[in-house]
Amino acid sequence: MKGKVIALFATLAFILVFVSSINVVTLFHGSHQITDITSPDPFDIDCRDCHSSIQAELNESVNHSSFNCTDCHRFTGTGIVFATHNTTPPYIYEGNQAHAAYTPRCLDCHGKSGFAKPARAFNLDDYGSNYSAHKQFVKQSSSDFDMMVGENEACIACHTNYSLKINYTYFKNISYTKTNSWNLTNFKYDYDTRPYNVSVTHDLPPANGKHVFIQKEKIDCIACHKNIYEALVNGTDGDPYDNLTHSPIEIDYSDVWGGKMAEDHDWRTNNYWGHTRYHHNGSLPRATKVNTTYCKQCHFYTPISPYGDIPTNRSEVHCAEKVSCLTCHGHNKTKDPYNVIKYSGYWGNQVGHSNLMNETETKALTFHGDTCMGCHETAEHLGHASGSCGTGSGTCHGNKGYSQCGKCHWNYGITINIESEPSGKVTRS
Amino acid sequence: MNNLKMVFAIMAIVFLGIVALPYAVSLFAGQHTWYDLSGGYGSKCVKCHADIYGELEASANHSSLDGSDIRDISGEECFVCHRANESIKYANASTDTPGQQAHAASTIGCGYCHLNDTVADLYNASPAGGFGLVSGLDDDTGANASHISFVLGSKNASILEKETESCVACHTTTNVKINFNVTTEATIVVNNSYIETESYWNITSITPSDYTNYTEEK
Repeated sequence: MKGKVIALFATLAFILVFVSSINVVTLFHGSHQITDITSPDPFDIDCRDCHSSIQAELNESVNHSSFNCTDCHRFTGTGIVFATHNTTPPYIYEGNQAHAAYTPRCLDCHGKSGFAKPARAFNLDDYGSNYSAHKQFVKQSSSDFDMMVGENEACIACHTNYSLKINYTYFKNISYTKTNSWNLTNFKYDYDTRPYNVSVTHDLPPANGKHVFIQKEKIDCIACHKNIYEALVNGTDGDPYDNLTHSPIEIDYSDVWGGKMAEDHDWRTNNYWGHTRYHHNGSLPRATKVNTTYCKQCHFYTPISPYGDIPTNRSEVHCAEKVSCLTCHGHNKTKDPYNVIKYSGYWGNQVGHSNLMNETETKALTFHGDTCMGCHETAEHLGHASGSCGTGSGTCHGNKGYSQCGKCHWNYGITINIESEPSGKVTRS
Repeated sequence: MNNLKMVFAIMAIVFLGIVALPYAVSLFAGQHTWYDLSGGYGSKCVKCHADIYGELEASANHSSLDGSDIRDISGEECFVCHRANESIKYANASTDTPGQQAHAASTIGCGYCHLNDTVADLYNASPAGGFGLVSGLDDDTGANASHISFVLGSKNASILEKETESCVACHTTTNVKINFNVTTEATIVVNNSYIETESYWNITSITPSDYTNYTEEK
């Protein structure tokens, strides 16, 4: 009992002494202790005290990880005057457009300033040429949306591991008639629209960071353009060939007939211009072969031997060019198929095909590929057998002869309905 | 016997107290000794606000506001800020002025001096430009300030005066815990616009669609 009384008195005495020693406590401890910001070091107030998570992101980033926060966020190339309070030059500036930091546009450094590697094409007036496939994205990010500053939405979307959902809407299908005189008629495009949603996530830690820049080579076209991948790899099931669209990469590269060009119905790995077929995807499964490298073969063409001088505009685009089949294979283009039409079956109509391409070129760019694929998609070829087309004893082309094969390969008319990516389903009648 | 000794001992203590102690003891010693305020308030603030005294001693700024040596904290520094507001009539013994809006001192926001170019000049303070808030500083737009939302949000908070929460958070040693809620995902809606002869991809919206929470402690 006596011990408890002593303990009680001791506790009360301690509280009394403690309380009396601190008369009044300020609301925020330290609020009157101002940090010294007078040194030339811009880190007097350490950004990382409040933004350590950004530091963690940068530690995982392939770019900018060696930078100070101030290298970007107090970049001096914009004319912004930041608040400065030094005892040595530059002494005191009040700050005008920003106080401690500003939120930079990526193009502040990667644009015209020359401070960092320019973002090709997008660093130019009006974001460069209209050949850039993503110019509209960049342009609208700057002018129409304010989720981020400037055009950063577009930069962040591709160059960091920030997550995206992309909801596309585009045409569902087109139809047209190739007349027996090789004219393009009855062109229709307004049947329906196709929604296609993509979710893009990265497994790079820390997840979803706007400051985690990914290696340029690891920017994956397919992540955002999965409908194209699906069209090239899966399409719509068919017999004997699936409806695979967007690019006529070969289906059967086996050389059954020993390379007799006019007779062999294989999808050859050598093309008619004397070098490896450009759209050839080798023996690898399509699911593997169709990747960013494959996309770039057309959309960011590198003139590597033996493919030669394909007339693209690579030097004027950022990472991808708006192209269609006609960019390379159009009339009078480097890979104009005029001289090779004769190998298409037995009866190629060079002039007719050129005419059809010219009329296709008058249509909107978005329709070019599907117009070509209406014939060039392998679907609905009914198999291969001995004998001439339509005359042998086998089931060559369904034994329907010129009137069937000649719809695409000669001077018969054909009406085509083809669905856009990813299904690519084609109906020929 | 022992009880008798105890009684004598108590009586001795009581009588000693009667002789030695004053006739009456004030409840609080010194409460009738009045300060002469005509010579300034000096250490009177420090009497209660010793912790702030300690902070000012360690502070890079404001410890010489009264014009004294930078490490000569007298307590007069307190009044430079806490009686600076000219719209407030404080009690003043020297001029026999009763206080109106405040008696001895008022709380004050950093912006009173640092967001007013005229007052800043008066007190040799640096205007906090770059938030578009400094009156009298024409080129102060704050158009690109990263922390503008924090500063403007602080104006609506009621813990400290006006935007002072944001000033204190960065410029002092006060501990800060920040609960961030940041976007981790954007949803982009893209429509292919087309007529028979022309087409282009049109982005109709870019909006944040997912968030994450984390806490930073300074």
